[in-house]
Amino acid sequence: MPALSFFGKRPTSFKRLLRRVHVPLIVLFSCSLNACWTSRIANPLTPAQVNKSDYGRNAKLLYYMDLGITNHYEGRYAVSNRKLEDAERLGEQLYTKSLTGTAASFIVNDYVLAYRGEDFELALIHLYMALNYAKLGKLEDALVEARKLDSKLSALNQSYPEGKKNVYKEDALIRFIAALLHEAEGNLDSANVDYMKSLEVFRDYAANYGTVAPRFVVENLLTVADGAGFPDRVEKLRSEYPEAQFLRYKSKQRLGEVIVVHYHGKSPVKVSERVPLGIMEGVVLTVSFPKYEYSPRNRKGATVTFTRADGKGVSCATEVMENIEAIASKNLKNRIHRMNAKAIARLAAQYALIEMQAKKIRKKYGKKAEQLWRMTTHLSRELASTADTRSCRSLPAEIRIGRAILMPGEYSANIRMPDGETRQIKKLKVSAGKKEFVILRSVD
Amino acid sequence: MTFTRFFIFGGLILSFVCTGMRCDPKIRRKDPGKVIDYSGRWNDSDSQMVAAAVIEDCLASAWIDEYKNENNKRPVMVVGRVKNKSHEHIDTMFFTKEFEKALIKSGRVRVVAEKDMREDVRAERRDIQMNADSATIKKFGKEIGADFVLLGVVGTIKDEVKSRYVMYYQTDLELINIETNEKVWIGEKKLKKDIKKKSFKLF
Repeated sequence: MPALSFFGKRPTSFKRLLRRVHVPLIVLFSCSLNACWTSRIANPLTPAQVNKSDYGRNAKLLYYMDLGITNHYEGRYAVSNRKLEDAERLGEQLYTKSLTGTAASFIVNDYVLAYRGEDFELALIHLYMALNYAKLGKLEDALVEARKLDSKLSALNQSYPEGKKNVYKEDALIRFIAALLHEAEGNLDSANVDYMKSLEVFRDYAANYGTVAPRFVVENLLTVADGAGFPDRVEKLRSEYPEAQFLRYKSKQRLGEVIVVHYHGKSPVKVSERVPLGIMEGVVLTVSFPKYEYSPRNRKGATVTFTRADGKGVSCATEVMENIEAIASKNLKNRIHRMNAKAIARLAAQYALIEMQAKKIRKKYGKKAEQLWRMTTHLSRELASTADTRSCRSLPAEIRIGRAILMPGEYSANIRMPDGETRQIKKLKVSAGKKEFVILRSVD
Repeated sequence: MTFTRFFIFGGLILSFVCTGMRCDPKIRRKDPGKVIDYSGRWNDSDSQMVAAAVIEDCLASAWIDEYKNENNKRPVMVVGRVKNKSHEHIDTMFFTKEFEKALIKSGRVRVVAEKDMREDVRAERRDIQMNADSATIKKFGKEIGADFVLLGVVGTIKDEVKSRYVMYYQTDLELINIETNEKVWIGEKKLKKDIKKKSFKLF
């Protein structure tokens, strides 16, 4: 009597062959299904469009980020913070890499790994949270986020070996916002340090991303350095930046400061690009790399005119302080060699596995079976071979900042957006020594 | 034969799946005093440690007896603001409440309601004026003014390198005479945590 398989009779040779073929096929196809990540979205995301099911098990970080950031744009700051806190916790948990997942990513694709976030994405979580707390009037909590940011940026700096440092290792905008919060608290020493760092990072920003420090960064530093009792620094800065206006700390304390945070454009999206490497034993070998696709946007900023009840007004235009498009692009360029090496190693591993099995099949079942095996497995390999195109889709292309120093009182604000659209804020209360944040979002 | 095997195998899988997919949460009661750390962040255990350390120190300090000897009455205290200057969102209410409770229990100090609570009590008093029986109406202007206010700060220093970091917490509490600004007691509690994040896991 022939030996029985679990399900009954011993399968025929052809059935056994099919089983051998099906297992890798099922594995590869199921993994390639994970890769159904939609990078391109027609309109800017809204909280209602952020569905957990669209993100899958391995992109939970992006789900929480998108939900937190879109709620921030809609003015739901408490909800935004809850979601961003989830994103932050998950980001910390994802520090621990899965050994089996990493091994699988060398055979299948990077979608089998949980998305851990780009450095700048993880840092920006704290920026949004700090602004949320500031908008909720919780300055102490906003400062907690500023301190977290400081340690995150320091850790980021240390996470790359000497000589292999990432271009993005500090954040000028985040430092500027942290300095503003410290200044609002009256902690002039910390404010001074953060304004200085912001200005320093802008030198790198100018070289790497073409973003120069707006004049008000220097002006705020001058004021704080004066308040903290650094006359030498004030003198040095005034000679370095003669165009910057110097406002004494005591005078500024009698005035209020409005910061316009303008999120403009859509962040670039990653797309998978297939590059043919050659033909080997009749099989076309390709590898996929991620590349960024950019959305067109108006390069102008928003202009905000604040008008008091007596008709006196002050205008300010928003200037680019964080070019996310350029940061993302440079960041990818930094890592592309590592990604290329991994994609080629993956291709080699897949090819070796398939060919090893092909030899066995030829020996046992003949040439036709081998051809069938090679055709199906190489096809599924090609389908599964796709670059990891996951990225945060709710980020803007750039963050622009405008600043106005105003006499205390009640103001109305008339906003002219980059596309010519006008918006209004009916009532904005400005208090002496306080900072007010105005949040704007535009796409085109 | 095949059907029987299939039936048994399917049944086994189904039972595994069903037990694995229980939707009721698993709950285990824990001793609130037990130290449980998951993330390494500030938690209930840290609050309890701070409270235990400062309460003991405050009650053992000479300021209560000195005040009693000078004024022939118990000092009245109010809990003020404990600033959070740390890297974490810490609700200082947990240890300031423990502090209040211990002082009241000791019977050596009188404690009045803090700012937020006073507002609620005043609102209640206003409501009573309008709606309560005249015999039970409570008067305005009878509040007890505090002699001392408790103020403090929680600060941290974080030193991080790759997967490891040391978090140093320092909680400083100060009791200040409201009339003279004299600091009559300063208590502190230092905590240090060495946290190592796992670089790898199996799955």
